[in-house]
Amino acid sequence: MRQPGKAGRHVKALADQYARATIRKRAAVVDRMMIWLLAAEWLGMMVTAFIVSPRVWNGDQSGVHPHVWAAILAGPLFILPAIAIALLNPARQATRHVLAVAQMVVSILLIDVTGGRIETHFHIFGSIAILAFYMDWRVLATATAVTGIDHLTRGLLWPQSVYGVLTASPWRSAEHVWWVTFEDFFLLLAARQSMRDLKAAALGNARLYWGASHDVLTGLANRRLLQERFDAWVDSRPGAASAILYVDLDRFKQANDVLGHAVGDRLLALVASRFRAFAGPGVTLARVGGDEFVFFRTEIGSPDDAKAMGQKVLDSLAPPFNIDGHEVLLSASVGIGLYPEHGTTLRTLQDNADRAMFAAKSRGRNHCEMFSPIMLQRHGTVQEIARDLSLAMSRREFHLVYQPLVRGLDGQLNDCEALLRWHHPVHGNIPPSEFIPLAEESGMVVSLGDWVLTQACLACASWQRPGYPAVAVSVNVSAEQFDQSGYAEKILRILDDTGLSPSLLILELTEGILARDIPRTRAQLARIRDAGIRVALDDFGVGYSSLSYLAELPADRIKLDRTFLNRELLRSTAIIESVVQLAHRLGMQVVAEGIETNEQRERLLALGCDVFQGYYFSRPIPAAEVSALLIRTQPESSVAGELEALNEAIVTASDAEVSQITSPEPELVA
Amino acid sequence: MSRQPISHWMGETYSVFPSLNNRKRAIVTLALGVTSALLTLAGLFLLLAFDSTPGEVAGPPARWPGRSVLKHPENRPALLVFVHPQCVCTSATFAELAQIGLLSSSVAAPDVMIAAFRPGSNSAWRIDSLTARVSGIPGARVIWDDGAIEARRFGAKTSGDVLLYSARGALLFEGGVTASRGHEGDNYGLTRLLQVLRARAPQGAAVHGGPVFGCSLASPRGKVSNPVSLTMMPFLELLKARILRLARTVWPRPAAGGDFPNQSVWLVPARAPVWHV
Repeated sequence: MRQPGKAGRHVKALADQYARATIRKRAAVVDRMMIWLLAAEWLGMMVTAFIVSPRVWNGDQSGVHPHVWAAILAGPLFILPAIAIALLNPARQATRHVLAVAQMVVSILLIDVTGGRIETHFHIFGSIAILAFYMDWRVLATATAVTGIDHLTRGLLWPQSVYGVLTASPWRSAEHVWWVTFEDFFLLLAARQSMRDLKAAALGNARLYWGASHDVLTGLANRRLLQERFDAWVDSRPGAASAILYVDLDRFKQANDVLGHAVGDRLLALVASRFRAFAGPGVTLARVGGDEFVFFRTEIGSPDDAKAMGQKVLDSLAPPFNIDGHEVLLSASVGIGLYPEHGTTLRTLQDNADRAMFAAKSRGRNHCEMFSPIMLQRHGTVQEIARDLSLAMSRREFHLVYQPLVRGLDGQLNDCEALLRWHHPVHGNIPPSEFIPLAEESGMVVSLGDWVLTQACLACASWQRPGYPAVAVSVNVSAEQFDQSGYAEKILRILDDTGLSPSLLILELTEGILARDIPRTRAQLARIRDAGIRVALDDFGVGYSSLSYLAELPADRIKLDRTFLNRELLRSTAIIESVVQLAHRLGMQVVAEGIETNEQRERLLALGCDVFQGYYFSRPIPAAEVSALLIRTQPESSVAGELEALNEAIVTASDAEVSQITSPEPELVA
Repeated sequence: MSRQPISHWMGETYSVFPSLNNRKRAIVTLALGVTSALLTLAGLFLLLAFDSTPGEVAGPPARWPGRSVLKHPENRPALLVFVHPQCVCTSATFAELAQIGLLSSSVAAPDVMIAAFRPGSNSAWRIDSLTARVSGIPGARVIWDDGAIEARRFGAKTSGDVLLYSARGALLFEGGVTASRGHEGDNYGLTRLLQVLRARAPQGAAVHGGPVFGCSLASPRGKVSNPVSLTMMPFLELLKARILRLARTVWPRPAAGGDFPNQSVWLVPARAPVWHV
């Protein structure tokens, strides 16, 4: 595993930290060994002195030999102070030198005490060898220096005591120093090699640790490191305020789907670098999921600090990202949990910040929300809904409603869009925006989509009357459904089972679905369109699609997103005009969604839109109501009057009446 | 990979005195270090002074004294060694003298007499152990010198004093044969003695060997001194003499004659300072 750039430097720094820690640990062990050795040598030296030269004589008088005194006094004079220094300053560089000096003085003293016996000179070599355990050339240099100073001083002042001659021969000095240096050389080589091995092992450990504690893609901390930092903070400053900011990128999945995973990964890395730029010290920034990030900020003065940071997160994403010529706009939803008010463990805090983040998403994304206990209740409800979703199908709690689409020129009913509704026995009608994401998350969206398609086809088949114009049904298709292999065949099977003509089915796909894996999508679309099924591009203009997709992936109609109606008039007019022209040139119909007023209808009609959908014409109505509407409407006449009457009935009706009008009808069986 | 945090993995070293803060720790360490270093240096110098300080020599007679009860061997040189049997330096002297046995057969072997000090004839000191210790010296025999009477006759005051008289009774060599107190190994005195025995030394005046390192054969004060009780003055005088001699090696003066051409660089003063040990 090789970490590039900043991560590589981080690993290197970590390896240095590991190496220093290992050296410190080893030094601590050698320190303890030296302490015991010095204590043992002191004892040994006293015993040796007593055996070799117990007394000094003057005729028939005798006294304790100075060597014995020297051996005894060696303890308080330098052995015990050296031990005390080592205990006071364990594993410090200076301690090693103190111990090295003490060890070499013991050697010198031992040579004196034993009457300069050749054998005791080997104690010097032994001492240096033991000091090599430190793997520190400076310690060996100190030991050699002590020996050198001792020999040179004695050699110059009392040469016969060292060299056995009365002259201070430099060559004799050099010879003595040479043997120690000779030994030092090999020990240094060994120490250097050991140090290299140690550093290599430290680098390996650092890489392992880095890999285990960081997200490789962004170089940010992962959950484990976040937990470590949180625990360390709580242990060191119990009760001190801190904050968790849970950040979820809005619609990142779509960007990932449209632009591809490679670009998605780069986008995440760029997001991480923007976050890192303002995070600063005292903030642990972690990536805890695909597009989920956590800021753990310590030392916050007030909740406003956390909110300010949340705003910084949103601001940092405001400028567009430019990746390989793609300009990508991202936003995020941020949830904030405060320690210790909103939780004392990281898990609790993260869960609560997550709830706050969902609240921010429900406010329309690109928001920052602070956790409040009321969210717990709501979150509990969401969990309950998620649990009931799996049972809703068998309990027959789903039903479809249909929103009519009216042709602009003659006001004829063109088709109806099938819309899924869930009537929960406890919570009542649950909007699709709440349960569809849960269905996507649980994977239930595929079976639910198949059910919708079947029911819509059945309903549409039931609407057809001889002598009346055919009315099509359009059904939304999710990415998960479209990704199934043999999806085209499945649709044809459903059409066959329900007896609906393929020409009366319109599949509404989002641009994101179409833009993925172009060759495969093209093949799937070709099979669908070859069967006579029409394809509509839903929410056109708000996704990430390129116009070139339109040429590569032909559709029968495009549905202009309703946001164009809300934008500044002049600019949106220009855009709509261009899109309409383009669509018509490519042989596509243009559907305008979200029409709520006659002015909107007239303006869009003037701009060339072909079909209209919106509350101005009709709210979604049950399938039976569509049938009734068709029966009430004379062939080739406008349904506008009928729809207007129906709308007025819904608007002026009480809630109970509306429920009755839009109540689920018995499930149609193919 | 362990689930332990990195700080745990790296670990902290032990701390014996955790209550001491860094400042106090540094002060205590510095005080201990400096005091210890100074006292150790002083102690080492005292020890060096003790080990390097030769014993007293009174000057032996130029000819074998007639009053001595020790008989001069006929037609052979006599090597007379005055020792204190209890002195630890005696072993070093014996070890050095054993090298006489390495001399070639063409060299006239001296009659080696070990005059061992004994306080009196009623002393409990046994000769057996001494005899065993001199077994390495060819032809050596041990003779008790009760009350150091013979030592006084031959002017020997320090254990380890070696005298070599010619077959005709003339003093050829006098001095010690060890490098310092109890230290075995190459040394100037033994080298000179072996040169004299090989008849390679200049003829004429007796050759002065190395200083004599050992216990005093008889203390006029009847009291034993130790390095702690040494006055620093003689030591400092010796130190000064050594430094001056050392300086002369760097800026040598013209040779003033002597036994050897390089005598001017000898580091031992012609007459070493004398004090009791």
